[in-house]
Amino acid sequence: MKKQLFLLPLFVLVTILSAAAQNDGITRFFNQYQEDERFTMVFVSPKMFQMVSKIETDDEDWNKVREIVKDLGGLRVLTADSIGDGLEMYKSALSRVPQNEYSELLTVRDGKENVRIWVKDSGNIIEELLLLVGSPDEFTMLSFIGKIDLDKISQLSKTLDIDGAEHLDKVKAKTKSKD
Amino acid sequence: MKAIFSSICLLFLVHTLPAQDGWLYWKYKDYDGMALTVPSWVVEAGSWFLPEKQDRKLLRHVNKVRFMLYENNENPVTDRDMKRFTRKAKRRHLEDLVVVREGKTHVRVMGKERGNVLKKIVVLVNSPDEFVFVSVKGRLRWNDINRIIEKYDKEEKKKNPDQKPLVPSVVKIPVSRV
Repeated sequence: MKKQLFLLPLFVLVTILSAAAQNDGITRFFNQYQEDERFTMVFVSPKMFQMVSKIETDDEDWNKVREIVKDLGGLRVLTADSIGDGLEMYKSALSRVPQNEYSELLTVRDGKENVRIWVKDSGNIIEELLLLVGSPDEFTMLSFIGKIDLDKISQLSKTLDIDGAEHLDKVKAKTKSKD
Repeated sequence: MKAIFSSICLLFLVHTLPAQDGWLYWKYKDYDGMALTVPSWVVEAGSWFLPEKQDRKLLRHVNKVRFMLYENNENPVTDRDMKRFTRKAKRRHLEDLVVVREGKTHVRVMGKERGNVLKKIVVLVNSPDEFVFVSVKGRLRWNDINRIIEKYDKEEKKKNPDQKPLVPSVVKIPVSRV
């Protein structure tokens, strides 16, 4: 019994450490390339989303954005549009995604361009959306954290007029086809 | 008694010194560029000339504005000082809102909020040939900010009815490809 009591905290510690290590794969990837000049790095903090959600106007479109943004907990983007090893980067990022934690939402290969979207969910709530785009000269990694509604996320990319976020629209198409 | 009082004063001084994030301004303000501090009384005096009451109200909640600009390949601010600034700012609860790096240019927007009041906003643009520092200190209430946004939004809509919704530009991700 005493031995079991001793092993319990050890088991908890190992579980926590392994979970953190899994999550770290993507964070480490971001950290590794965030100072690399070939890439553009964008980080929008949870605080920013919180602040933006406090802006109230009569504008209906803005109110839709507010609804989505208030539940978001952060956005990280790592992108490069003229690199020679886009596909290698894509494969490298792909290998860092912990398959047991994330479930694949969609995979698209269009010519030489590969798009993959994963989601991390607990129950009915999606906690993270990870988008990977890789082609021979282009690479994008985008991670939304927070309470995510897949339908609304694609709407957000339209309203905020983010160039190239058309890949997020595929999420909407996917959810509709599920229905 | 005197010794105790001196120690308390010293302790207070030591505690508050690293908290000052204006040191970056004081260290570099005399370099060849542009640096200015607008004190609260100047801001208030400026607010008298604004025709709209809402604008005046918002401006009167600004206490101090600091601005520093170096361009034409002359950025005297060292990487070490930038790191020091970030470290100290975080210690003073100045949180990162948006961080963007494109090539050698770093853009950082930081903010401090308490309750529903925005107490400070700092914008930093740092590249090898350019440096911009803007710090706005005050007590900006979200209600006042909302009213201003709403007002300008309505004016814009009157001018261009087909225009896209007004979204604060800081939310727009300033990269050509995401």
